[in-house]
Amino acid sequence: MQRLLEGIFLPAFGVGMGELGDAVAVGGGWVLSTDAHVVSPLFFPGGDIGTLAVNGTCNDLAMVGAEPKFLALTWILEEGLDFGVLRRIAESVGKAAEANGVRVIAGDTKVVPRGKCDGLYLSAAGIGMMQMAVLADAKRLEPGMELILSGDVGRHAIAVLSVRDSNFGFVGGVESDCCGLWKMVKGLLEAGVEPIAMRDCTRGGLATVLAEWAEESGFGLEIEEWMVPVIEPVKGVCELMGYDPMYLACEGRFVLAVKREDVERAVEILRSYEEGVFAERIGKVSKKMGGRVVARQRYGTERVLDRLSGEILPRIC
Amino acid sequence: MEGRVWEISGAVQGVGFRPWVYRVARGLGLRGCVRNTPTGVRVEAIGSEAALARMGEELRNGGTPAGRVRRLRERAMEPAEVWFFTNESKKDGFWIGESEGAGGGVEDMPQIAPDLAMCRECLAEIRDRGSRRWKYPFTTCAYCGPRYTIFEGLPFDRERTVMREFPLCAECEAEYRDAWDRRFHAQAIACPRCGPWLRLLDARGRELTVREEALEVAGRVLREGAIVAVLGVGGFHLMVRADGREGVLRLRRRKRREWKPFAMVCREVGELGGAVRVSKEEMALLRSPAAPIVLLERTGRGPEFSGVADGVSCLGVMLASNPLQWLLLEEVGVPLVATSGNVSEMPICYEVEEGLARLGDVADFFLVHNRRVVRRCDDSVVRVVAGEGRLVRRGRGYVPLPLELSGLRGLADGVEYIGVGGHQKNCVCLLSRGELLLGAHLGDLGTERAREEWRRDVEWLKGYSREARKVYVCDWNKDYGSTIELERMAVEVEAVQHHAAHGFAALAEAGWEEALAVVWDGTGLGVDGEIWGGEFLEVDWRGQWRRVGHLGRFVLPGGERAAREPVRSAAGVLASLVKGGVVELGEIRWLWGLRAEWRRLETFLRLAGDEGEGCVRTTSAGRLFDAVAWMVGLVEGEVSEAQAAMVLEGSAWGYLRRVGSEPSAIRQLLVREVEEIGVAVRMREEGENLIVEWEEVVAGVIREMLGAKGDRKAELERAAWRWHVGIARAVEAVVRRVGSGRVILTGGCFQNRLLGEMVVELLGAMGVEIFLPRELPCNDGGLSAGQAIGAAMRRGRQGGKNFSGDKMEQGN
Repeated sequence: MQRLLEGIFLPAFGVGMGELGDAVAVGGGWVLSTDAHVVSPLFFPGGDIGTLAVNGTCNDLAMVGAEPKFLALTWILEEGLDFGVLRRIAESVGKAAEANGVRVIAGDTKVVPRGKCDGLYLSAAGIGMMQMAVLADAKRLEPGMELILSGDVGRHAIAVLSVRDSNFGFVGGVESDCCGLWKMVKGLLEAGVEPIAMRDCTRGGLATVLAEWAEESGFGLEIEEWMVPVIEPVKGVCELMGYDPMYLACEGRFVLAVKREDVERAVEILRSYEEGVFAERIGKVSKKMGGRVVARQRYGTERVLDRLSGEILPRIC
Repeated sequence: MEGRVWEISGAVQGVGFRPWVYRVARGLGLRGCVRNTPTGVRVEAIGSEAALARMGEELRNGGTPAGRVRRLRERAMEPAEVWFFTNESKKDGFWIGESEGAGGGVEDMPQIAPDLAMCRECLAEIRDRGSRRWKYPFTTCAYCGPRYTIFEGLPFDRERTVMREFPLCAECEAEYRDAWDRRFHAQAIACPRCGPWLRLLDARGRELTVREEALEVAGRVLREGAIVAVLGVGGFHLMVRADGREGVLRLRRRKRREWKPFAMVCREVGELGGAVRVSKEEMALLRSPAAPIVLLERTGRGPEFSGVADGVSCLGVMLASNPLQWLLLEEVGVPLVATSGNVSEMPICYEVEEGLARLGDVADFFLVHNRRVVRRCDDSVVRVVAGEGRLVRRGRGYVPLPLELSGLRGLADGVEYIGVGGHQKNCVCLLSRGELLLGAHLGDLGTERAREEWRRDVEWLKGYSREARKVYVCDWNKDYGSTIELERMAVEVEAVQHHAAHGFAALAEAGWEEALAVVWDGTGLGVDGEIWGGEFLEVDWRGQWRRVGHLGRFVLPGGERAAREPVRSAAGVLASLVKGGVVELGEIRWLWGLRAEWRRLETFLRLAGDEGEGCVRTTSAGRLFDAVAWMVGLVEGEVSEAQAAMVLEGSAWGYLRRVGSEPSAIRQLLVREVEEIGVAVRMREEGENLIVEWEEVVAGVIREMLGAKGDRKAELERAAWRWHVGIARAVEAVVRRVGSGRVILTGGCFQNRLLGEMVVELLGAMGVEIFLPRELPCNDGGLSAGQAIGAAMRRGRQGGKNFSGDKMEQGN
């Protein structure tokens, strides 16, 4: 990805690395984000490609402190796609938009020949209004600040897996954590908690977000791994498959960095939302171990959470 | 009057070299001086032609017991120099000069000695009531004592070691000045009056007592069964009586090390009560100045040392290598467990503060001292396979002596290579002008503490650098801790494939131009994105390699977890057998349906059969051994790394003991067995590759189990033995088909002595030349060396061209 950006996109657009982002301020307090979704299967316990597209795009806005306002959707449909399927996804989009408080104001639909796409691709662009004076940014992290996780991790990945591989049908009870995060961010802002940095744990999971933050801030992050909530069925599947829950994708979880004095209040606020009942303090920013994430285990051991290549799953050493 | 100057490099500092030169020169009536330089020792002398010639000869042949002259350059003095020494008014005529500091063109790699085990003279002193060093745990002389772990700068002089904190008393000073004393110019000497002393602390770091009493009390509590953390030469050891099962298990519980064998330390092998067999080679290793842990085959008689190394065929034993260990053992009177002072795969602790912080929950007491340990150095581990000692872990006693491998000659191309190693059993190395400097064993890179040590080791290596251009060489696996750390460093990076690196290391050590490398280990990333581990590679001295064969593929459910949970490997292997119609599900159920892990086996069989999410394809020999160990019922549930393979080997040795054969009789047994079994292993061709169909060998084990009746243990041992025979014959079959004249056996699987010796027998009978690594561990401890060597060969002998087979490497 990095190579694509640096090798092709940035030079072609004539912009620098820092100028591209998941969500970017475009002036007048407006923030723009865009996100394409090619998930397979289209439906999974707790959501579908529609919920993913809306929540994903809105969450990108929420994570910089912008309230999601408008959405534009581009649908790429495979010839012969069942109308029932399309209707269900469209309804999901409607519901998710309502939950996020956004209006779908523009769209486009293209049909491609059979076999040219995997049923349906959905691309969304979102516009939000900035609600914070300063953008939440990992570069603002400083030693002593506290890290909070908004809920248990790994559910989305396992929910998708349970559909994809019939051997894991038995975990059908695990529903995706897919949800909009703005509500919680808004709650924090209204209570006067200043989010220093926020990021949703999507691809690469919690560990990858933390590794990125450590690199971007140049400080170390110390995590108490036993504080990271993982529900039992997710733990069970991870154990079987050799997956590491810290690296599993979520679609409705975020990490939040706050100042020391805000931490109790922030956790309390998050826990007052249905999506945040499992919110926990998971660690803090440290002066030591510059640029690295160390996850402490019980019994005085630790492990480094590296940013993994993702080429070999499960990880093999 | 003539004069000559000799520049000597090699292991000539910290080994009593200058005192020796002094004595020789004085004996010859020469005038002049000897001094340490940043790269070695310089001798300048004037005198008669005959005396000078004699001096040169002595230097060429000579040295001290622990020293090693690598290169000697001689030149005649300029007249001005001769004039200087003629008129120098020092009354001695020959003296030991001030050391020369760094600066100037550094020609040779500076060498200091490794930490050397206590010599006989020092031992006699600490046992002698009349000596002023009676019971003094820091007794050393020019020929023994710590070196690598106490120096802070070069050349190796007291003021650049931690010993500078202890000014010599008058008596020590006198010894230091006396040319005929063995402490003449010995840098680390000390005595009870002026040297370091012991402190005994409780688990929270409170001082209980000091000096002699600390030793006595520590000995007493050890005798009574306590666990004591003892700060030795290269870090802490955790010690407990080896003859008390309860204490050993307590140590296991607290260290959270359920099974992995512990090493033991004793004064004499006799203290083990005949529990182990010691060959001539093994005895020589035990008593060498390096004094490593030697893996000794059990006899099945004598004390059991229950809990120390259950289920394995050998015991790791070292002889007390420093006065402190010796004195403690004398107080306790029985052999002690001496395991590295670390917790769960972290690096060994070597500072008092860190030890207290990390080992406070493990040890009841801490026996520490104020001779600081500058850098970590674990005990080395050696196993004799096919009659020669092979390093399993390179540490104390070997580090930091550079290696000159014959296969590296002529590889001085103005570039230096730093091999950064793998993810486990990590150690780093520098390859510079054909010399290989290996860092001490570090271990697993999963923790930040280990990464810190890794970065420190890399910095340390850079201190020995002589070229401007350095290339860092890593594995292809981007998720190795070493590869990840490298990415942060903004340096020139190359990659060498895992098993090829193993092959290159052995090739350079063997000094061969090409060979068939049998590389069998746990896991390494292959070119095709699959996990390799049962490889047959053609390697050559140009750094080229080609895969010519491998063990047949199977599927590992849960990837890396399989290394810790043999039932996964068993399921993967059985899934292949079922698919191939070799075994039926009914038979599997009949054999293992009552096992505690039956349900898990079923689940994994299904996952492996579908090859769905979480499954990886592998050709791993290590996992194949794990699978067989599970099938014959030797392991269950979670195990330590390599445990399954080790107990499988242990079980096969049990068979040998049962039929009453000495290890030397492997040959006859093997011949008989080969005749009995008949056909060798089948192979098929897949493109350019020979695929070893091991299914029949596993099926043989299963048939053995299906037919088992009577003494179950004996049946299992026989099955384990047969497995070894069968899989050794797989190597034989491939070598025969490929027609190689020179074969390398490497990779962690060849720590298995039985496997190694069987293959040596089988190939030897074919007239094939065989090489098993000696200096470079065949496990991942030798990986960094192989990386550096592979990259250097590639650049040095192909004019910088990358081998076309290494497509991935060009992209890296």
